Amino acid sequence: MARKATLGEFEHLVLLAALGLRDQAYAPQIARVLEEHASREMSRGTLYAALERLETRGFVEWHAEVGTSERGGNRRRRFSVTEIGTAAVVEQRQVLLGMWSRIEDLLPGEGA
Amino acid sequence: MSAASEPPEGLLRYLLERFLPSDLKGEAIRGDLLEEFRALAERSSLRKANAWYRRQGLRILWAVASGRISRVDRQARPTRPTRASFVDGLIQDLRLAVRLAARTPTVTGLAVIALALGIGANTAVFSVVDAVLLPNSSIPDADRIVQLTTVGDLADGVRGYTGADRYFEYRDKTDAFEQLLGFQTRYFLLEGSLRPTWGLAAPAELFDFLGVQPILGRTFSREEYSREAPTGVNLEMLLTYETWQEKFGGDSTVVGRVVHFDPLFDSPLIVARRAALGVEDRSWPARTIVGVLPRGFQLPLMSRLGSLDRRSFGAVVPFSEGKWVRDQRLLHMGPILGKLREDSSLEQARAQLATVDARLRAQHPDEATYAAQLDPITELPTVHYGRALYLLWAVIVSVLLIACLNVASLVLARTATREGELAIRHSLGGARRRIIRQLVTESVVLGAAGGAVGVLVAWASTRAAVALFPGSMYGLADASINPSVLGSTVLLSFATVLFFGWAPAVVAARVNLAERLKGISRGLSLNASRIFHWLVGIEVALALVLFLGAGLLLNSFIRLTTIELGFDPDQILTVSIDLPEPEVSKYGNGEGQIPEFDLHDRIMESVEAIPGVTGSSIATWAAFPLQGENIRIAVEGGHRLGADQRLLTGWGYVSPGYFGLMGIPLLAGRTFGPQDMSGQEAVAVVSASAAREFWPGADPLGKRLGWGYYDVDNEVPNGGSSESRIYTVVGVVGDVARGNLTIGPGARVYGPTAHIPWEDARYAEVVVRTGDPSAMAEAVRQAVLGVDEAEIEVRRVATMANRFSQVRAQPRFYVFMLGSLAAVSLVLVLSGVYGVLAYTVNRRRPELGLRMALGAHPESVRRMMLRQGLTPVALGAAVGLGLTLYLGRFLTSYLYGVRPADPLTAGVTLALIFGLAALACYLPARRASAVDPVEALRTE
Repeated sequence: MARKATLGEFEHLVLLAALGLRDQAYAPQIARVLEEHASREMSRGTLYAALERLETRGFVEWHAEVGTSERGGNRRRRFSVTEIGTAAVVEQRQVLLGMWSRIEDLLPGEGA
Repeated sequence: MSAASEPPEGLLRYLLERFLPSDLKGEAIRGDLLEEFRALAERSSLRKANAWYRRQGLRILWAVASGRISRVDRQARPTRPTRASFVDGLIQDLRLAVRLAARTPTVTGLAVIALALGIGANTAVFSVVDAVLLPNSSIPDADRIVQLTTVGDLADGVRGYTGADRYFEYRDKTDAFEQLLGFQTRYFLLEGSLRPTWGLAAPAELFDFLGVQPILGRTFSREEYSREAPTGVNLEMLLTYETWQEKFGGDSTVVGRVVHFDPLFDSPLIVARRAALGVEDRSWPARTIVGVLPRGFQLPLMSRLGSLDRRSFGAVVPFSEGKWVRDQRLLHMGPILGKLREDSSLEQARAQLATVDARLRAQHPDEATYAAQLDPITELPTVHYGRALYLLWAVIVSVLLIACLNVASLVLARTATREGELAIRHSLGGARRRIIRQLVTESVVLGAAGGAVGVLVAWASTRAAVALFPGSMYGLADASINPSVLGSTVLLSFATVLFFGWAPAVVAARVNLAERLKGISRGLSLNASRIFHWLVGIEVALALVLFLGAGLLLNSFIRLTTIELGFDPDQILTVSIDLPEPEVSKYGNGEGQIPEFDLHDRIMESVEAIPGVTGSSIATWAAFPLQGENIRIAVEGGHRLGADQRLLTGWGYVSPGYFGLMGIPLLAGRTFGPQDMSGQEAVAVVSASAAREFWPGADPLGKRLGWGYYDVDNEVPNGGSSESRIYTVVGVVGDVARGNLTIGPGARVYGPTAHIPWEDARYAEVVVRTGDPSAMAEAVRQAVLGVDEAEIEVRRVATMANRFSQVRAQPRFYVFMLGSLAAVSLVLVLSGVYGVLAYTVNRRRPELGLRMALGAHPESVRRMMLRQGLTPVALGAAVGLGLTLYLGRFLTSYLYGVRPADPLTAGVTLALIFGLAALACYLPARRASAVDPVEALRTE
């Protein structure tokens, strides 16, 4: 199966959010981090779809945890970013840094 | 503030219950929704929370409906990694590795080329060496098998042969050997065939000894092959596979067939046997074919007998040893194969042979210098080819080392640039094990690519070596890739790549993140530059040794091509002819030729009748340039020789006009004329070297000389030869080159063909001068054969130029081998220098930018980079030069007219390496000076 080699922008953000949450990377928390940064409500449908896509690609995996009463007793999933996922983020970072370095002299308020 | 706020009941909740997956994922999503709903209700208002719940619930349902959230749980497996996830991870690693390889095409390309050349060249050379030099590996108990030869000042100058009488003494008066097998070669004509077949007379034990089973039939029956057989008549015969195919078409019913053969060359055995049997007629003896030997059957010997071309080695007959054979002192056996007893050592065997030698010396004073020499066959290639083999091995190892160093520096450079990335991954929780595994995978991908291309290179270059040098070396035609060599070379290369890919990974994985991130754009914490300089330095040193060695060989080869031949090879065509044994030839009378022998004159007449032929002449095989063998002579005056002192010289016979035709200059006196062809006066012409050697400072004209055992001064024969003439020297001619061009011309004595003994007449060279020798070849062959097709066999028709080039085949082979390996190593070193410097420039961009921002001139930056690139090259070159001077003495025996410390070769080589290395440095250096300071600093 051919998979896209690079991360989509949203996927990238989801991975970064999950990494940033360390061992608190549950879907609602990920959503909250993303909403704080985006300053708008985000679609949970999109989020779960993205998490599933990332899982399929081996970038994230999850462990089931016992549910609490706030959740109506439903179990919850704690996500973690895999090695490959981390590698993908780091690679993306390199790409972005490289791309940015080419245009930095065009940006106002920066430069020598 | 209800702790138990509930989302609105209704269709949406039903749908979420109904359409979300019924498994853990669905449960978790519903739980998430509930959790968020309650949190929002608490934080803001129930109304807002309800609105939120509806919006998000619909979006999730939409994602499910459009398939973006699957209804089947993919992660039904436990979260601990299983075998499947390990394989998945591996596939991921492989994908990443391939991507990385594609993203760094320069490093990947150079590393793959280096690996391919290293693996390919080594496998090819070693396979060729293996085929040419090490054919004895499959014999049972090979470590106990020895070759016995006789050395010393041998009667006929033929090295390595042992008289039959000595063989039996060695065999029967020693007990250190389990077996000691003697051989003879035979030459016979199968009935219905005009081409003679070489055969081997061998004891029946040979086949067990070698572990050889016939593919058809059986080997010799021991009953029939009895040591006490009264007349030694054995009527069995084994065919080689090649003869079976060629002469019998691979017919499987050949066993049991009776064949007749003409014992043309079976003498003196056959002659003696015939005398013993009283058989005088020429009826063809019969033999029964009892079996067929497997393909490629040969003796594990490194001598003339052993190296007989196996295609012409047609049959094996039992070697019989009746009483009449034992007494044949002058009957020569081939080299002897022995197997040591398990409880006896090589030293014991040698000591026993020395005892026998001492006794024989007392019995035969004329064989005082003879001694048995015993060599284990496993050491024979080394004994025979001596330093050439060690030299080649050293060269092979050096090239592989260079390739490995080269790959090492490239992989190291690539890993080093990724140190930052690795450090981040590690600090983000990436297991070191995983990071290292991925780096290892990358190395394996690199190694596999290099190995695959390397196999192709090995295959192609082995084929090339075989095609370029047909027949130049025995066994070369059978060279093919040796799987174990290929395997170990590939393994070694893999190990190198792994080590140099893995070591930086371990270091990188240990590095503190904060520290790393500070230096991330610059790359390294490893002191990689210093390692690179070492690697480049060592590479250059090794390559220089190889290159200088190749240069010296090439230089000496060029001198070899301009060597003074002493004759004019242009426009000369030669026809080598053989005549039968005197007792079966119509020109023979049993001992020599008939008095009215005029075959040579008729051949010359016939050839000269061809339009375009300007002259012809006859010379015996031994008289001819580029060949000949030494015999002992005694000379008048000058030298007074003791019993054990003899002069050696080439001795041959030529027809009048030979020297003029060949362009060999007359220096003093005269050459042969018609008056010498009556056979009345025995006159001789000697070469300049012979005159100088035999009569130093005296006039050679008028001096007398004769064959080996004669006291010329008193004209008393003191040995047993049919040639008893005393020759008077009438002329001196120029020297001609010998077969080994590097040892200079030897002394030669020429007699007129009128005195030609049958043994020499049988192997004659017809020399024809004509405008276009190659075009005339067929016409001349027909003219020679036309004289007497029944008696004459044309062994070879060749231009003189062609024969000369065959003599140079072996030096050419050495030059080619060492030259191509040196070229490979040069390519490797240059790519290494380039790769490392290009990497360094890349890494130092910010620093270079800063320098230029601070006012450094591009030119000075360029110079700085060049200097840094060339410093390790210069150091390596200095070490290499010293090493070459030290190792050069091992080369001396392969050099002609060049000393190992040849300044010209060294100068040219150094200039070449430095020039190319400077070029390899210049490209990255130019890029360094083109760095835009502002841009370089911004990336900081």
